[in-house]
Amino acid sequence: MPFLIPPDVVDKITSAIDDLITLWSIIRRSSPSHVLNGDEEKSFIERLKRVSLCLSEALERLDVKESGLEGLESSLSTLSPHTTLILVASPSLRKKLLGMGIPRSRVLAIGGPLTVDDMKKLNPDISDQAVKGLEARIERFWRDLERRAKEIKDVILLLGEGKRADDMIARRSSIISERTGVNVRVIRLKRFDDLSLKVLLRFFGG
Amino acid sequence: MPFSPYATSRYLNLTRTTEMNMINLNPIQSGGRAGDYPGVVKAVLEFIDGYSTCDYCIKGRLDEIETPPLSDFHADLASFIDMDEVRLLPGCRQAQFAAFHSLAEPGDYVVIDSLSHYSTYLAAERARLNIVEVPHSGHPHFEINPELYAEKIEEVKRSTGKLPAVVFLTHVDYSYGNLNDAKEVGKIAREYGVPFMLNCAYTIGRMPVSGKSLHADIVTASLHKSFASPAPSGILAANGEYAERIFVKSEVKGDWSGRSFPNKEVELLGCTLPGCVAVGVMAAFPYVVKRVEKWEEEVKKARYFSSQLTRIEGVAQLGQVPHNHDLLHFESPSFFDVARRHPRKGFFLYDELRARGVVGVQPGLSKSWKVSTYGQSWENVKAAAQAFLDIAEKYGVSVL
Repeated sequence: MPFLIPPDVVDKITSAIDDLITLWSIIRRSSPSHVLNGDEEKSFIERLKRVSLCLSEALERLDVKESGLEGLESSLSTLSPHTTLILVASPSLRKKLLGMGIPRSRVLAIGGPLTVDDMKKLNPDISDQAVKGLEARIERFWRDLERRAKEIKDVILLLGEGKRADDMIARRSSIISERTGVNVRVIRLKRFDDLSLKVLLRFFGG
Repeated sequence: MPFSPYATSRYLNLTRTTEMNMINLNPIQSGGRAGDYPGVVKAVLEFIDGYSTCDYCIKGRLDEIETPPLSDFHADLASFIDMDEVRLLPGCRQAQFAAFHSLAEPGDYVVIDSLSHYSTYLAAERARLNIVEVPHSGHPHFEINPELYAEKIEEVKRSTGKLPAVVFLTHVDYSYGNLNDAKEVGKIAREYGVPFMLNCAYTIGRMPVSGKSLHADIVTASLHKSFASPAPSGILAANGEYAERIFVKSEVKGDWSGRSFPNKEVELLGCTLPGCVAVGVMAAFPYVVKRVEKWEEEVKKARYFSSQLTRIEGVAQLGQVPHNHDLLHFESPSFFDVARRHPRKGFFLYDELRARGVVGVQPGLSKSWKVSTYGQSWENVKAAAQAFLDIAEKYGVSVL
């Protein structure tokens, strides 16, 4: 079957190119410092967002779903398995990764949001007793991470898409690099399927 | 001989990063930066195919094409420079030749300013004309005195028994950036009844120009130099009877076939500028209309730049002071002294400027050199001036 580019995809791509040309001209005009004033900055950001949206919609329309796997593969390709730690939100995912043969020293689970405030937003009815347990869990996580941070350079924060708790962790990811001094890359995966697990396994030499 | 893909691959992936990474002060490039205007880039891409403007060419002439609106554009362009008729050509020199060729007979004389671009001399030579130069005032101001035009016209009249065929003036000369008194020269030409041609290569597209106010009968311009346009592009504009003589229509007829081309203009050899260049010029027009309104600011930047560089011991700005244009010519015996001692000789100035993110001074020059501040932000103008001051200090040249 020949591949047909649907008319709406053609429109989206030409629209993205149109905005990209304007962005290119703005970059040229502001050379070499590339400092933009308030209005230019606003226009620059708006156009950049439009480009991103147009291209995402075009990919979606072509059924080229972005699973996030490409981001994971390309991030891992620049890292060393000996100095990289995978951080996941749920202990069950950690268990799954360990079960597949990924070294225990290379995976750590956060167990939930990184702050009590976030947990309260997630569950406003949380009891005081539960909050105390939560504080202890968060403290344990930081202790564990700071201990491991001495041996690592990079953290891959592997989170799912469309999960509120994962969104909260992603937003707080800068705290991890601030407290530990390691580089943190956030990778959002639409699904943790066999394929993504295999990518991780391959990275760790499995 | 067959070419392998490897042998031809060097012609692909061509890039130019000058405008992205540097402050470019090259005077022939400053007014022709088309990439700064997204509408121009988009138009050029849309019409990149050779004869792309000819989809709806009904009458067989570029200036009469209605889609894209080239016909309207020609009318608007004529109005913008205040002339009756205008045509697009592949450059200013072609425009000058077309005018010389149609207004003069071989052996006629033309009076030109002695700071004319070399292509003016060649255009006259190609039209088999004789040249009489109006001298300039010499170092350091190099000014053209309009009254000398009357003397030269009289001189031609005395020696040949007839008036020169054309009086020619460069509005702003390419050597010193002097803004010449076109109105006065135009007045003198009119008094003698000689057509007055004004070369606006460094003015149209940068500053407001009214051909009629300057008494110009013919106006030429370089669009890739001053109109934010791709090359090659220029203008030939004319008024009244001179428009009729220059844009004369073809009368040729094939003796066997009987073919004729009555709507084609002879001096333009039919169509002049098809495709992306014509459309690029047209797309530049809305930006140019706006930018000429900021001409005073451009002059302020040039004067500021001059005031900073002349703080360097021995550096003097040639031409009119205070300056009335962005093209600036400096002489710098102090830098020349440095060059004599430097292992890179005259190239030291280019190297040092480049290391500071500034280009545009011709490589190898240190004794005297030209720059243009046109289109640069104040931030860039200040940074470029500072680069020269820093170089002076580095080599022990005093800065006041």
